[in-house]
Amino acid sequence: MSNAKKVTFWGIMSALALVLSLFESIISPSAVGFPGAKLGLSNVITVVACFSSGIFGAIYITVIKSVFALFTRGFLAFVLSFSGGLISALLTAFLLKTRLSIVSVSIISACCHNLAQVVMICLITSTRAYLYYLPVLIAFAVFSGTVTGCILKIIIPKFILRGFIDEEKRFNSH
Amino acid sequence: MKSIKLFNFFDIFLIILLLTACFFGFKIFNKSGTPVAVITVGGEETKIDLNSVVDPYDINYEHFSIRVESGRICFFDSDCRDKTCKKSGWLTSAGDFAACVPNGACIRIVGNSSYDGVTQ
Repeated sequence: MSNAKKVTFWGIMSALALVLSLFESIISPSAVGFPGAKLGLSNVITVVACFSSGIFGAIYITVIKSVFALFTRGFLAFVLSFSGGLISALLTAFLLKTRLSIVSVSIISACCHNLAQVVMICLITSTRAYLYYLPVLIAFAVFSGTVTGCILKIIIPKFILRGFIDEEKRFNSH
Repeated sequence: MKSIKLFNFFDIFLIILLLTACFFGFKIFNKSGTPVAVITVGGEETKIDLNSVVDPYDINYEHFSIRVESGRICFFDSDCRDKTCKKSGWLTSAGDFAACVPNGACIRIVGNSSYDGVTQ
């Protein structure tokens, strides 16, 4: 990619990550009896960044999202967003190098994202009671991870087609 | 436009495995029976048998209050920022859960077979 193309790409990716996190907090399923559950659409951008420039791209998007959460929803939201985001970004970067399909990678990352957040909440509040909610959150993570994975499977080939992701990184986007 | 195959065998296997694990985890945590509310604030648990409640009353804490009625319970008021706890609404049956993470509080409903000799 040329420098101009790089700047544009990362600008658009950052903006998309922020807009999607805002959008998913509006359509959040908390309202229908799943407090804390989210669709995780902005994680699509994290994985695209990971495909494009590896682990540092993924961490960059995670940091951008967490800082946005800090300004709009406070310190607790920042800690939860960052802990969940970092774990799933590291895991995604590692799992993309294995032979797992993108859908499986999304599901595993989503589960670990929620697991990390619940553990973080337990540490902050020194209460174990939140662990009882884990089965519901993991079940929701399976659903949101599947949705995210399917979206990625459809859009990754289009990023490759337009030269934003190198052809040789295509290995497990099938 | 060529169609894309979204799932392979392992994806389906993983989905079914995780959902089954969640189902049994949920069953183990939430036994059936009449609803008993477990309120956890800062590591301390309070249990209330919701069916034995006759007159509605409020439990007031420093930063939030909980309303208890016959057969149901909810976060009534809180000074937290996102009000996720209030939005969760009334909790009525085993497995229902509401939390106010900024105040370190949560309410969950369990069946009474999980506890013996619940007192108010």
